[in-house]
Amino acid sequence: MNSGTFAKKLLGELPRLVSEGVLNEEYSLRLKKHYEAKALNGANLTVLIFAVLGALLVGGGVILLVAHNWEELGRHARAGLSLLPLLICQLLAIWVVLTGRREGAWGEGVGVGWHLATGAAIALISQTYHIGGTATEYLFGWALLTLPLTYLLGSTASFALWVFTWSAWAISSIDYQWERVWLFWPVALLFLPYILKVYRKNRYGGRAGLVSIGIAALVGAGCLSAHLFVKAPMLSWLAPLAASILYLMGLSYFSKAETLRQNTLLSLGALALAIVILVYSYGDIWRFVMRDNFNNYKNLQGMWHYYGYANFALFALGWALLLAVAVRKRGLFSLAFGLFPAVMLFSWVINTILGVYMPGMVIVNLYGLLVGVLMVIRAAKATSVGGMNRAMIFLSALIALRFFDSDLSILTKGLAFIIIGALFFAANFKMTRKAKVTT
Amino acid sequence: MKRLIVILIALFSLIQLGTLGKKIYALEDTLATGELHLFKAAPIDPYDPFRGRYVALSQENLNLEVGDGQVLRRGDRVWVKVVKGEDGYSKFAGLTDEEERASKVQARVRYSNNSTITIEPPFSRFYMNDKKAPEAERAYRTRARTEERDAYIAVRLKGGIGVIEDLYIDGKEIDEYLRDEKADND
Repeated sequence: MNSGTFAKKLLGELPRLVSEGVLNEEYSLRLKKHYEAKALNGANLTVLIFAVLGALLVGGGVILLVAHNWEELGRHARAGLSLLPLLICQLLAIWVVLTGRREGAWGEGVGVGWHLATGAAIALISQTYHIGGTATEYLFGWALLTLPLTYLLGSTASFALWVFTWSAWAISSIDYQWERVWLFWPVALLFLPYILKVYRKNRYGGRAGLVSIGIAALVGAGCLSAHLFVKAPMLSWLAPLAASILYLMGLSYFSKAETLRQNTLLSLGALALAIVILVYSYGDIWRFVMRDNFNNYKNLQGMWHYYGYANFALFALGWALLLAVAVRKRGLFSLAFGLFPAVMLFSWVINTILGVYMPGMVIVNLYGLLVGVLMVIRAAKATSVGGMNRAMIFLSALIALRFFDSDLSILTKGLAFIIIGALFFAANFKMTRKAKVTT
Repeated sequence: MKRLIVILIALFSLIQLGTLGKKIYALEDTLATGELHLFKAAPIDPYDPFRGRYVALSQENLNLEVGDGQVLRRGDRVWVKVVKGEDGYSKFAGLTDEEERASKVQARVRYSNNSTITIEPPFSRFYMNDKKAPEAERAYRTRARTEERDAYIAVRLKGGIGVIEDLYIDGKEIDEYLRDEKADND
C-alpha cells in the first residue's frame, strides 16, 4: 500500500479508534496532522496521473484522427486544421499560467497535449503535402519543436515524453541521421537544471520517479545508439557501464528511499546489471567480446567514429566518478554490483593474456555467485523477505543457466532444481519467521 | 514571474507556428507557381504510424555518376538536377549544387561506390485515405499483371522544393481512377 492510500485509510479510522478508547484525542490530533499532508499528496498524485492519462488519450486520438487522412476537407482546410490543436494547447498553456495552475495537474495535462499536438501538426503537414522522409527525421523535428515545454509548464510528463521522443530518434538515427547524432548528449543535458530541481524538491516523490525513468531511458538510448552507429560490439562495454551508472546513482543519491519505487534508478540499474551479469556468464558472449576490439572502429565514417569514442569516454568517466562517490558515501559492502565493469575489464585482460575466452566466463560466474551471496546476507541482516527473494531469484537464475549450459544428465539437472526450490522455500520460511519474531 | 512565463510561452508559440507556417507557405507557393514535372512511378501501400496510410513511390534513373575526387557516403544529402525527357517524363540527370538555377531537388544517398551512387527516390510518399491506399495499390497491381504499367506523379518544383500534386494511373487522377474502377466492377 502506498503512503497516500495508507494515510487516507488511517485518517478515516481515527474517529473510531478514539471512540473505542484505543487512542486519546491528543495522539489522534498528532497523527491527523502528520498524515494529512501525505493523504493530500496521494490525492494530488492520483489527479496528476489521471490528467496525464487523459491528455495522452486525447492527444493519441488526435494523432489517429490525423492518420485517417481527411481528403474530403481539401488541402487548405487540412493545412489550417493541422495547426488548430497546437494553437488550442498554446492558449491553454497561457491560461494555465495566468490562473496559477502551472506545475499542477492542469500543467501536466496541457504539457502532454502540447507535445502530442506538435507531433500531430508536423504529421498532418507531411501528409497534406506528401512529404517523404523517414520516421527518424520526423522524430528529430518533433523533439526540437517541443524542447522548452518542460520548462515553460514545469511539466514532468512533458519531460518524459520529450525524453522518449529524443531517445527514439537517437536509437533510430542509424537511418540517415548519423551526422546529427553528436547532438544527443548536449541537447539532453539542457534538462539537467530541471532534473536537479525536481530531485531537490522531493527526490522520493512520484515526479522524481518519472524523471528517473527518463534518465534511465536517456542512458539506455546513449548506450544503444552508440552500438548501432559503430555496428560493432561496443555495446559489450557500454551495457555494463550504463547499468552500473544507474545503479550507483540510485545507491548514492537516494539512500533514504523506503521502497524500491522510491528508488527507481537503483531498481532499474540493479535489474539491468543482473541481466547483464547473466548474459556475460555465458561462454559464447566472450567469444564475441574477444573477437572484436577498438581497432574495429578505425574504418568507420565521419561522426560514427567520434560519437562511438566520445560516448564510451562519457560512460566510463561517469561510472568511475559515481563509483568514487558511492565508496565515500556508502562504503565497500554496497559496491558489489557497481564493480561489474571493472570485473569485465579484468576478465578481458586475463583473456587477452592467456589468448582464450574461458577465464572471463569463469570470473563473471564467480563474481555473480559472490554478489548473490552478499545480497542474501544483506537481506537476512535487514530481515527483508522481498530482498531475500530477489537475491534468490538472481542466484537461482545463475545456477539454472549453468545447469542448462552443461552436459550433465537430466537426472542431475532435475535434482539440482529440486535443491534450488527447497532452498527458496527454506529461505522464505526462515525470513518470515524472523520477521514475525522481530515484530 | 508569471508575466515572464506568459511572454515566453507566447514567444515560443510564435516560433512553433512560424516554423510550421513558413513550411506550409513554401509548399503552397511551390504548388501554385512551381514548374510541372511528371515522373514515372511504381506504387505500393505501406503505413506510417504517425502519418497514416500512404502509397510508397519510386522513380527511375536513381543511379548517378559522381564527379572526380568527390566522396559521397550513404546518408549524405545531394542536389540532383531534373530535366524533362522527350517522352514527357522528367528524369534525374546528374548531381548538381545548391547554386544551380535549373530545376533541382534534394535526395539522400542510398548506396555509394567510388564512381556512382544510388539515391533514395526524392518523391517517396503519396498519402491517401486508409481505405483508398490499399485499393490504389490493388488496382495498380491487377492492371500491371495484364497490361503495361502506366502510373506517374505530377510534381511541382521550385527553388529545390518539390511537392507532389497528384498520382495518376492510366492518365486519370487516382481518385477518379478508383471511382471509375468501382463503377466498372458494380
